[in-house]
Amino acid sequence: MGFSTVAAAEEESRPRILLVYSADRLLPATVDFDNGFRRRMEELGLGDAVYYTEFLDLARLEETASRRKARVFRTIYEGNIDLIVSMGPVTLQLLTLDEPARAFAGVPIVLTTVETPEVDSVNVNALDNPIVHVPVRWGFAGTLRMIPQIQPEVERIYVVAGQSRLDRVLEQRLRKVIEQEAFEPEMIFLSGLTISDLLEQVRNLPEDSAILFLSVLHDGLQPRVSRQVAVAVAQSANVPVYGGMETYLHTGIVGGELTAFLQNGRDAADQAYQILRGGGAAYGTSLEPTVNRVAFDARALEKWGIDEDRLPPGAEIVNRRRGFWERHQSVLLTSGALILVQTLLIALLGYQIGKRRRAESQARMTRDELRLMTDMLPAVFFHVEAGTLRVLYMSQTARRWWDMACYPEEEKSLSQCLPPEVYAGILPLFSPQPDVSRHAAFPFTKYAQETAYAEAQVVPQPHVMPGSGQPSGYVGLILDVTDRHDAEMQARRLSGELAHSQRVSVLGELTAAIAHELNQPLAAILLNAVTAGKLLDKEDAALDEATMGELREIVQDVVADDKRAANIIRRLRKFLSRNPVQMTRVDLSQVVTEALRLMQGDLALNGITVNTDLSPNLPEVHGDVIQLEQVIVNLLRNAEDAINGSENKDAKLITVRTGAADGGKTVFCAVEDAGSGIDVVDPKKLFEAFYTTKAHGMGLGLSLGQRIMEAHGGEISAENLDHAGARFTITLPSISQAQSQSHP
Amino acid sequence: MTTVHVIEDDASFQKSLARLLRVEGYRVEVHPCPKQFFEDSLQTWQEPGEGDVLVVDLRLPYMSGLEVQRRLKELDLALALIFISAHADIATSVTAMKAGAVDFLEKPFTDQEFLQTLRNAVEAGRMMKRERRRRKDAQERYARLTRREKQVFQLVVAGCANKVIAAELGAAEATVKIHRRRVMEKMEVESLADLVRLSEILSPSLEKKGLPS
Repeated sequence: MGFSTVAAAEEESRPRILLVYSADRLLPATVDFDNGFRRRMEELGLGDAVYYTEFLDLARLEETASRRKARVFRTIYEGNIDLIVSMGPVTLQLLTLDEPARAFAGVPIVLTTVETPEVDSVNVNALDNPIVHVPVRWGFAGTLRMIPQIQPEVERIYVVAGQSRLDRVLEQRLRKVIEQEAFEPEMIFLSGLTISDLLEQVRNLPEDSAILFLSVLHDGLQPRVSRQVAVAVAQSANVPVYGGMETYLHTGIVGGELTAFLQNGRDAADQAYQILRGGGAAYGTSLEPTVNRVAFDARALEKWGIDEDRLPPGAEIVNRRRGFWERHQSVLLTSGALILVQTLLIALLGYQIGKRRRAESQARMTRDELRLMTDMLPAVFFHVEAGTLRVLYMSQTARRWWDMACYPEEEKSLSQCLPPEVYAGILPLFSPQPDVSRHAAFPFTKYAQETAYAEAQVVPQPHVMPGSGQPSGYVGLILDVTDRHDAEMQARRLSGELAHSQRVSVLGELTAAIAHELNQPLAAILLNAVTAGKLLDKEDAALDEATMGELREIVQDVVADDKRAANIIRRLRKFLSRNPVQMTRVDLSQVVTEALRLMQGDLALNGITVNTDLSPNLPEVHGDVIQLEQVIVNLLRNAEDAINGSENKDAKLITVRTGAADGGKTVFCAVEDAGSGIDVVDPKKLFEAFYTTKAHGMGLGLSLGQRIMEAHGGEISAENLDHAGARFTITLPSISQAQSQSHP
Repeated sequence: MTTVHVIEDDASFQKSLARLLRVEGYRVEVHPCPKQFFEDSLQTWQEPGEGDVLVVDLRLPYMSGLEVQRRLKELDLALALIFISAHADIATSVTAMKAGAVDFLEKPFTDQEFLQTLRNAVEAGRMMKRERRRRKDAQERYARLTRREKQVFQLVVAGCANKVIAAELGAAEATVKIHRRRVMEKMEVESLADLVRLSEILSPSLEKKGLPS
């Protein structure tokens, strides 16, 4: 087999470990366990182990499918594996299938399970494999037991669970726990509700209740992210919400016993290490369960007025309100840091150039000072060798953020000094090519649990290696820009809502025209149906050929009219939708056609004729269809108003053109009217919010149009025409030919 | 047979309305726009048939329903008018009714509403036609009168005695009597009462032209 020879040649001396997970790749439990396992392995000096990671996806696949998948794993890996780490007992069963002979016979297995009443023991001795069982307790059960202690007044506990297979498995598990232990509070299951129904419910729960948030991976309508649902539930609920997973911390949930998947991964790694070193752990044994974290959110406790004294002894409190300096630290420092760091970069480069000429002590002093300074920054600052990316220096901030220390004398590579997501984020910046981008932005995890956003910059050192002409090293900087990122997201959301409400207001003004348009097909359907009835009444028994033909035609016409009405409604609904911005490939001519159809009724009511000259083969642009349509509708409305306000009643004509300019680099749409023209002293005022010359309207159309165009990297312009009227033009960059080929 | 003319730009509605009318036994002529209607109609007939009706959409491209109504008046065509509209404001409908439309229907309407309105319109059309015929008749007779006889006619129907008329026109009473008899003959009436009725039929056209003095 090709695989095995390659693998053998390259990696003969390194241990090969197969990690098999029962769930899918992105489940927090999986991610935590995997991180814990790999980090611990690195710490134990087994960082060079070869990992093969597979996911059985039991929560979504049918059992036969999982079985097939497991069989495929077997064909691929059997005979090439030194150790299996299996998460979940079902995984183990599937992996060691009995047909035709036991798979992976003799390969040592580290089995991890969530220890619960229903899986209290795995019959590890029935297999031909040496097995070490590393269980972890199921935090939800612990949390459930804690609630009456923390809030003795609670009479009812509502359990939130979803609709996916895994959701239901967890719900069953909890029901078992409840059955086995006599619980004082009444248990009520809020399972299988859609998100909106769920939020409605938790908003109005009776007093003296609490919520236990289990998991919602699917709400019956669509797949969901449990953590996001938890955030929403915690925000809406009128009673405290408890959880049982580390991922639910910092969501507004009060806390509880949190299943320690990360630590469980570390414990599993310890066992793996022992096995691979050929000693230590006794096979066939079940270890003590990994100790779960019992943690509570200080702000949630404060919100619900829960006394910290009521918490179980030794409980950890997170998310304490920070002092002023701490809270605003990043804001205060980020701005200063940018300037300071630029200076430091120059200083460091200067230092690099001049270091050979300086005395050794002097150099050390300068270096120490520099390090002290960089350590104070809310940014990670580093210096690496080109090619090997060996770390020559990394500021102490890395230690604070990620608990990862890195000293030059350890000769570690950059990948060992940064969390994987950060390393992956900045790796492309080290290209020896001179013209690549040296900037990157990506999300990362800070303090082990806080999601943050980073911007990174890397600068090649100016002096080059002899011969190759390549830089000898790189200095780089990773900045935490979470506050700015959040502010931008918030601004984007608000502007999306503003755009939406303007669309609602535009449609409000078009009501008369829409009623007119909808009434046409409705009236035709009514008359057709009545006529059909009359035809059927007339010919009592046998229908002659002509009548049948007429009836057939009537049915066809009714269908066509119904479709016509449905299309009008579809167009309205699309225009009114509240979806977040979705950038897709867009043909501007098609957007214009849709906008014209939407406006068709109103234009006709006003007796306005539209001349169109739409280019059929426009290069595509990148954009949000609805917002672009909105811009064009606004321009058409303006043109209409200009015509209605004009003295010249004969000039009821709007001309709409689309085309490509700049040799296909940009695409434009121009809307011309024969109205009164633009009568503004300062044309810039035209695009200001709330500037309007009309009796109705809020003056938002053009300012929004400009904002939308800017967000699309385009622009909007206005000019008066020579004879009469005005022309508004929007211009957008097209997706270039090269790009469209590389992303088909 | 009654012919119903339909001016409607919405193709599918036009078709459904025509279909209903045919099934109900009317002759139907559809016209996509007023211009077409006037061109087609004026070429084929000088006079609309007895009881013919025009159904017209208020909102039409280029020429509104109200303009069609005005144009019909100008051309003096005796057609009963029904307005239909998918969305109309009160002001427009009032204007239409004041200008002599038989009825005003808002889409969507039921077949009963429409057919009843249509029957009313046919009746109204017939009456219009009769009145018109009478007026034309009267006008033709009136046209036979000499200038002097017309003056006598006006004064007679105004209720003046022969002596007063003679004084007014500066003529002998005997001459007035002769004129008066001629007027009665030419207008083909037996009594003064009939003559007054004829003058009433004629009055709109007379007022327009002004009284001869």
